[in-house]
Amino acid sequence: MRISTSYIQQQNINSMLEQQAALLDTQNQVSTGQRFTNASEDPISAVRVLDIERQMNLNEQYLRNADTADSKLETTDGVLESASSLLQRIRELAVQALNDTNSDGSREGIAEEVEQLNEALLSLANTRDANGESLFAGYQSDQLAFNETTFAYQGDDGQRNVRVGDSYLVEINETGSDVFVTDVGASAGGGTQPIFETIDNFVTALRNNTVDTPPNDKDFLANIDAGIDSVYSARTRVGTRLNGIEAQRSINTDVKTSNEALLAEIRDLDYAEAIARLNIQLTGLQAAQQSYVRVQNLSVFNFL
Amino acid sequence: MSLLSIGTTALTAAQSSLATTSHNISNVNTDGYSRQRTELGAHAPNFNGSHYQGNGVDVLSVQRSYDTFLASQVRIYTSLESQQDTFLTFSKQVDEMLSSDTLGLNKGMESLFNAVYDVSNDPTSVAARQSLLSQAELLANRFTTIDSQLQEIDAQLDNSMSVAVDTINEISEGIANLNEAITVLTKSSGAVPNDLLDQRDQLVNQLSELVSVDIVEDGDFYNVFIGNGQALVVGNTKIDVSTVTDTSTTPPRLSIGYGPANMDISSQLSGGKVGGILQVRTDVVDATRTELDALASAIVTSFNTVQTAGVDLDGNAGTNIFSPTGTTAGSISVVMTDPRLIAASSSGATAGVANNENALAMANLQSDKTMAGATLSFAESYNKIVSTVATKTMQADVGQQTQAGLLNQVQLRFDSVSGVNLDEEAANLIKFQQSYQAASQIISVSNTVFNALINAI
Repeated sequence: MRISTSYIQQQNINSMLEQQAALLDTQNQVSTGQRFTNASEDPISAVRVLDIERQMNLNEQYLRNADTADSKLETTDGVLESASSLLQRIRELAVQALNDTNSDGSREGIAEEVEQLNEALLSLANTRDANGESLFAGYQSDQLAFNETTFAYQGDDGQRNVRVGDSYLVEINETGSDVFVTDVGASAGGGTQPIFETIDNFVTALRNNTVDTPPNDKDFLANIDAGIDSVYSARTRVGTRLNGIEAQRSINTDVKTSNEALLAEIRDLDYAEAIARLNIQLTGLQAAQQSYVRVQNLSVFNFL
Repeated sequence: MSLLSIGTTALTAAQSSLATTSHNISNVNTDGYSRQRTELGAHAPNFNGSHYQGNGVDVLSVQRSYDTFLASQVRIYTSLESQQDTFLTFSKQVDEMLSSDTLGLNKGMESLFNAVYDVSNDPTSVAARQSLLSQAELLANRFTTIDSQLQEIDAQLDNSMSVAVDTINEISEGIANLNEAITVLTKSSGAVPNDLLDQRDQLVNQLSELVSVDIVEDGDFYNVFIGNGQALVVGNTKIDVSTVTDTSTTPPRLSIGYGPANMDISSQLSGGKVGGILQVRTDVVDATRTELDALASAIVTSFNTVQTAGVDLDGNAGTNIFSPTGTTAGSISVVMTDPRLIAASSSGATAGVANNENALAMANLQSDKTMAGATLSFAESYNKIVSTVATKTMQADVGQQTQAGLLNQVQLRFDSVSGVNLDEEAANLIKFQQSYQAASQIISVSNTVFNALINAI
């Protein structure tokens, strides 16, 4: 086939331009460390990268949510621990007070201490967290959980959920009605009563010397036991949730690690392969340049 | 005929051949030039009673080497390659924009939902609420930025279109003028002006870079047609194309009008730069804007629906967070200014400042299948936009390379007929130089023969 001089020229130039373009692509890959910068270079992988990045972001959010849940639940657990030891001490004092051998003076002393402990217990139930939210008031966290004079529960049954996994919502608060409002025996009127009211009634009975009369006799011990049980079971629930969060956290951390690995596999450049390719392309470009120069020198006119 | 006259015809023929060869060499780098050759033929012989005596050589014509079929192939692939190349140029811009971390919507949506989760973790925190509002505004900004960039691309397309239209008209005029000149010269001399034919073919090639053309030869005229047979050039007259404003879209943009009536023929045009512009506008720019509008609309509606179902920090019923009238990518905006108005709490008996049920419902929008007939989440819908544009861009890239390869193939074949090869011309130069020297010898010999006769007297 006849080949025109300008076609030979153009072919040589095109060949060099193509080699340069390929070389530039590889240089870009090497300098960014990524296989592609625009989605069109590998649409399927690019969309997978978007999916994985979103999954990773959500996962990070779950880990942050878990931190929030942990901090709230740990604060609750600490308060409940203090509350249970206060209730234990009140029970010990009640046992002592119900002992017939007590003098009036010592009963007054016991009444005084129980009253102080009850106030401390009430203040624990009205604890506000670092954000100023009442810990035990349910969704009404701008209110005190229990009225300081009537002991009435002012919160509601709202339990805030936090998402720590794709299908794992965890409750991060205990409501005052669950923890500090307990069933009382028939002698105390039956039904439920805030524990503070039960204790306050007992203090009054101590002062009035009516601790032999139900419900402020041995019935009080039964009622206070119900309160202690209630706090214990609340602590158990909190502890279970903390364990659940910890388990979910390790799942989330695993997912994060595997997503990072996946992302690296899809997006990151294989440097060894890229450098080898770069060398081949450099050689190719040099060959194209040399062949251009040589072919250009080839002409019958040189011999005329 | 005498020896001298025969020698003269030989000299003239060699001179003409040398001149043609020199012309070829001179035009080795001229675009659209077809190599020429001097066609020679033996002069009619004389009858000398018993035999015919040869009478030397005639220059019959100077022909250009040109293959009409290959030329039309070159035009076809030029149009196809140019269309893909134009498509690719603009499609790449959209692809880069959607893939960009700073412009892409995926990061914006993620940040917004992170802020929603932060509010659900701590619904009484005004700071967390403020951050949600800011993220909503940033997302709205990303939408409007992308939309204005797409409009910018639309404006670039309009600009390229009007440049293309002007160029088409100039080329049409050139072809019409050459039609006229070629006819006049051919009629007056009976010979074909090769170099003007080359110029006209070159103009047709340039035209096919802009739009697919059909050439119908009518005598010495080229009649040029585009689209479904709209004539650009008939004989020595041209018919103009124009840009007409199409107001059916927002913003309005240009279509191609034909003739004095400016009839819109955009839908009938294909190939070339114009074909690429029309295709990328429909397939990429319009399609992307429609999908982005749908996404913006779904986000606005979903967030507002959840908002109005809840109760804000002050116990009032929730209000719209996004402007309910801004349901396109270009108009999406945040109307809420007070972070306390974010309705994190569910309504009804359980409403309360620490209630986060509505915020959780808002966070669930991230994975809810709210789009495309409840089959796609926001992020999946955006991924679809990205992958559609990316796939079309990649296809155009492959298509452009394929067409460029095919164009290269037909160009090689076309050039093998029409292109100048300098080595060949160098050989011809030697050959015709030798012919010229030999013809000179004829003159010299005729002189010697004549002298011999004179001296004999």
